[in-house]
Amino acid sequence: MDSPHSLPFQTLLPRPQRGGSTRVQLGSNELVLESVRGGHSLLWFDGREARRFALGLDAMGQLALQLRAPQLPVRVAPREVLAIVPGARLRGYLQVPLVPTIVWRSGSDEAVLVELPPRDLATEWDDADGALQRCTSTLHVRFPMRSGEPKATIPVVLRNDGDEVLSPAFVPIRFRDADLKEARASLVTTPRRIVWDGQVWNADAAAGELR
Amino acid sequence: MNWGLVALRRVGLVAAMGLVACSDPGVDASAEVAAELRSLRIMLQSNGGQAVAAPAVDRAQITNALSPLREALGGLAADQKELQSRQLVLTQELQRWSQLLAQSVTSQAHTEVEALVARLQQLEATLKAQDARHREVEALLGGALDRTADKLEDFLKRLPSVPGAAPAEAKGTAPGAAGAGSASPPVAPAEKEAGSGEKVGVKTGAMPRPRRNAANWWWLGLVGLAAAFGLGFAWRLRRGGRVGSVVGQAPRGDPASAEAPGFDRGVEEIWAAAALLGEAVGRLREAETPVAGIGSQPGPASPPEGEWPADDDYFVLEDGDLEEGETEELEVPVEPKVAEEAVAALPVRVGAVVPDAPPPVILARPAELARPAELACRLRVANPDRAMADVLLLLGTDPRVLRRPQPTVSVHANVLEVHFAVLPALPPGERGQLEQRLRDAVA
Repeated sequence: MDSPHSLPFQTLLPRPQRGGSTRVQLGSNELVLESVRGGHSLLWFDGREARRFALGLDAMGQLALQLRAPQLPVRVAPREVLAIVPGARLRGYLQVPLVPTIVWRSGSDEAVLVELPPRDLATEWDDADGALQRCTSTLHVRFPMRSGEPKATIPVVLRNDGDEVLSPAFVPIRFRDADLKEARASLVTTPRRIVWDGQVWNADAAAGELR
Repeated sequence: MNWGLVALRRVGLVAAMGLVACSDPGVDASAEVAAELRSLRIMLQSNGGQAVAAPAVDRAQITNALSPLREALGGLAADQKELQSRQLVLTQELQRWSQLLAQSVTSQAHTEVEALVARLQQLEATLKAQDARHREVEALLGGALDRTADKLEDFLKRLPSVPGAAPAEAKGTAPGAAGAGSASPPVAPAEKEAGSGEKVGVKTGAMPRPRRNAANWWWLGLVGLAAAFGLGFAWRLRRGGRVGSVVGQAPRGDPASAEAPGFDRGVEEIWAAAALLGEAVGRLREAETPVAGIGSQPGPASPPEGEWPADDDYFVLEDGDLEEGETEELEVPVEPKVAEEAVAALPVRVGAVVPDAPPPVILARPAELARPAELACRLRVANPDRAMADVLLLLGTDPRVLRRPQPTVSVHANVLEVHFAVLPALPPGERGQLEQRLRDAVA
């Protein structure tokens, strides 16, 4: 890590000796891997609540903590009220929580052991939109914004091609793990250029599928 | 006998009357008690008066004795007041520091401060780079202009030796004609013309400027001479087979150039100078372009899928450069999305930013559109109201529980019936742990 606030995509978790522990701090989250009799114990504390996992690991392979993109489409509700006049555009940076994931890698195989969905990433489902996730974010105007929290920075360019002033309740974002890059001690994606055509959100090829 | 009894009665009666007469009829018991009480009260009053009167004397003495202490107590009281005021000031200052500390500790402010510091460092670095680039470009441009001017001057000096050159009066006009002729050919851009013309004007200060301010007919003569010179120049060029040649295109060992007289060599030099000038201007432009948009770098808006640009493509914001590059950003070559499965599809529009982009297509129903798994459990509780509140709080804060459909809790005879949906593909272990947490919450 370059700085305490740097956010690597992946952090290796060396297995400790018997009776020892490996501690990883990730923003307000803390992870402790202990080697106990009969296996390994993983303690995850998100600042408010602790969860314990019991892991059975073999001699080969290694544990890694990865920050993965949400698998579902994310609707980011900006904390500010956005108002975009017809034909205008608005630029900024949104932040989407990433999902800390404990991955077991043995050779070329990789398996997800534990997913730790963040508390500020709520999941919803309805008949019209299916499953999606919601979060809130400030529309930042500076980059990088280093808080140390496991969040991805999404540069967005919002354009209103409709005939009326656009004041969206959310901004649809979707990205994959492959879109995440480490830059300036942050995890950032390529810019998302999203257009409101008056009825639905459209996106360019880089932004991918929206919903 | 009777006489003795009568006398005895008389004596007894007299004695009784004497006893009665001896008794004090004015003395009463109650009066005597009251008198005794009065005397006691008077005695007590007299004693009390003496007791009150005695402390009056003691107070004065005490006052006299304690008078030195009064000053000390006054000083102590003043010190106490001063300490109280100082404590108040310190408390206020501590509050201010606490507020400042809280503000600095706040994540948003902390983030803002860090971002500002980083931004300041970035701007300083940018300013240094920009300054260095400016100096380099200025030196380059100045050198190019100097060399161009020198070559033009040399060329002008060699002009009288050209056979068929203009007469002596036309010498002053020849540079202008040559300059125009050298600048107008296809290679020289407008910047080159302006730069070379300005520099030539400076370097050829000995030219007959007063004549340019003379009567109009002089201008006509000069124009005619320039035209004649230009025609001759073009004729010479054509005859030498070097029309439109640019330095670098023809090899130095070219027999045509070897056969060309000094006039052609001068033209070559002029072209070389012009090319050098053009190169300098081009480098200037290249150097100025990132300077104007430094940091912003809207970036190649169309990187191939999965390919990350080498530079900072993630910058979409920069002060003062919002207009530049906007068109480029929106001219994104969009690859049309292909519907994978059109059966049982839900209309999901995926369009493009460009106006002529292909129309939105209908994508297949993704996996996330499948209805999530719902869990139901019954919990026997002792206090249904409290247990319901606890269960709703737990379900509302657990990120594995979907917010919509909303968890429902109903009570049926001390039994809570809980229904909630969980994340798609939530492992059974996580589900079991979630149910166990619910049981623990109502236990």
